[in-house]
Amino acid sequence: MATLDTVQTFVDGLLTPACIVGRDLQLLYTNYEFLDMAKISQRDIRRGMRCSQCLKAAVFTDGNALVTGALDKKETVKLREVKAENARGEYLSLGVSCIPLPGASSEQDVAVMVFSDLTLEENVQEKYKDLYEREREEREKLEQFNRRLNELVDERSRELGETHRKLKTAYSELSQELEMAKNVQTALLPREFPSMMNIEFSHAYVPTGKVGGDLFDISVTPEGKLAVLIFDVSGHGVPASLIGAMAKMLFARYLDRLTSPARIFSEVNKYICNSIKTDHYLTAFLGLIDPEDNTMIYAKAAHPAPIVYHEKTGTIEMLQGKGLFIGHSALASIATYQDAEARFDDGDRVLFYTDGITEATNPGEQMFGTERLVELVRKHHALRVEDSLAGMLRDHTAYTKGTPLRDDFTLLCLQFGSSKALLVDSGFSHGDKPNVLMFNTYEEIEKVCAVILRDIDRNGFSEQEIWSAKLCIHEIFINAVTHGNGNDRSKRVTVFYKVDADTFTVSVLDEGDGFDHQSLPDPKEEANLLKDGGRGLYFVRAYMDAVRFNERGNRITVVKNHREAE
Amino acid sequence: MDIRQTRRDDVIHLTLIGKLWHPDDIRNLRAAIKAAAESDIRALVVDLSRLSFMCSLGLGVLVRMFVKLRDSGIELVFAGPKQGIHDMIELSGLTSVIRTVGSPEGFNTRASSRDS
Repeated sequence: MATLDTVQTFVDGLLTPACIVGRDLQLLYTNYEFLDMAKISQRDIRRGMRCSQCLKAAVFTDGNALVTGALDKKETVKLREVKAENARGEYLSLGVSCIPLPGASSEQDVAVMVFSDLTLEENVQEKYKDLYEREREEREKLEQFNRRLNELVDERSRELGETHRKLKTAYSELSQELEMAKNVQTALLPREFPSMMNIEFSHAYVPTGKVGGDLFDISVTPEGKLAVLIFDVSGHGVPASLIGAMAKMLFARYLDRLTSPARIFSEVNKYICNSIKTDHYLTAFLGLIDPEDNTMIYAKAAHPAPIVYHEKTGTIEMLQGKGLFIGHSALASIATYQDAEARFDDGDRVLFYTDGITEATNPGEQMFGTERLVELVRKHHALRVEDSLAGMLRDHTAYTKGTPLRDDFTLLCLQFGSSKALLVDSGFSHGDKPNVLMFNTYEEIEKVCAVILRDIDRNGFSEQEIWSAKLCIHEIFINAVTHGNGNDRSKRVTVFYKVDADTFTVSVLDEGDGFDHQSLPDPKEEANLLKDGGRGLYFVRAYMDAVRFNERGNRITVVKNHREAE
Repeated sequence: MDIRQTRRDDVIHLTLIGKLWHPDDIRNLRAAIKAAAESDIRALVVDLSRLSFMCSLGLGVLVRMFVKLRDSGIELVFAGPKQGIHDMIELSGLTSVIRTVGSPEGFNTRASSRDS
């Protein structure tokens, strides 16, 4: 058990104020820290000063609950924030622990009171109260600012999202409109060329990805002339495409009424300048070809001159002409156009084009130019028109080396008289003007067959006659592609046909060596009955009214009369 | 052309739908008949009722397969050809060699009565 001396030593060793008191709160012993806190001296203690006299606080006076409580219960009692005054009347805020020490003194019950002075802390708090307050206010302001900032960010994000959504919708609508414009433009291009016995066509359109203003058309006029139209609207996009579509309609309208390309240009120019206020204008070339004598009346409106390759002489001719832009309002009053005439021989070739091809550049920014295009026409003249165009495009691509095109371009190639010689032994004369179809592959058979069957159907042939026609034309076409041309895709099958209400005639020429049609075995003979081949020509002979071959055996001509017409 | 196969007991029915003239379709038909013949069957009925067009090459492959199947003891039968195709078969003199019935069901009835 601790003696009073031991406790006094303990109290001395504490760094915080401490004292030993009796049950009546008499100070029996204090350390220096206590004296300093209570502002008393050793003398006061020796005089028998009570704790309640130097530390005035309710807890020390009201029945001395603190010490007596601790002593009676023999438990340490702890009090926080005891407000007291010392002997000098100074304010103190104290924490007090009262530890009972039963038996430490033989004379009376004693306890140790250990104090912690919280005054300084309170003073600091008081001193910096304003600062704390300001800091709190600043922090609140900062938090408020942050909240507002977040709200603004959210609000702006919402607005941005909404704007993005609207932009996306608008872009989607715009894309759809552009796509629609492209579709309209594509729909305006001729799907199939009219069958002209002695003129072959091929065309190519090279887009830039934007909706362009190039358009062309090939049609037959009421007078039987072949109208070749190519034009290029300035600018790009939907407006250029709309002007193009409208111009095409106008040309078609005047082609039905007028026979002079220059007059047609004047009328279209007048209409566009008077009716439509637009910054767009167009360059154009219109030629009306008479297939009887291979002449062409044409007019040119500031359009690149078509290039003619004369087969017999190997010379180049540029189809020049005078005429200003069509639809240019500033030039409306002075725009005049002139008709000119060109003559062609069999084998001559004409290349119509828009300036996108000549204005294309290579990586060194050098334009392709007209001279190079002329050279390509010369270089590829011996090829078929479609192969010739493919060759030109290959060479053009090799020149530009992937440099993006500034403008889309169109190429349209015509060759005269190439199929005239093919009429020999067909049963048709030049004056019969049969329709001409050409194809190279098995895959094209059904499409070409459908064109002929449509005409047969239109002329009132019966369902059974159409069925047998379908069978026979298929048989002949399959023979031409597989046996005649040996499935060589570079070889062509040329078909002449004519249908009227009484009869239809189909003449098919392949590029093979021919075969001996008289040596074919009869598939109905017993020895041949179960052979898998040899029935095709048998069906043709059975269903058609007349079947003829040329001497070489690479042309078959079939005739079928309409039964009801007989 | 589409080819649909069904089996009823020891008879396989191949229904040809569309047109039979393209080499790809002819190859497919030949392969389908070959595959069908490898199973244990008594007869193969080629249902032509939904075939709208056929050229001589199409008929040729059917004749060739008829011969092959006959050598294996399987009968190839034509069923339900439309008028145009029926005329082709008749015109070729094949009706005397290859049994042609009005409908696929017609073959079963006949076969059952013959078998019984």
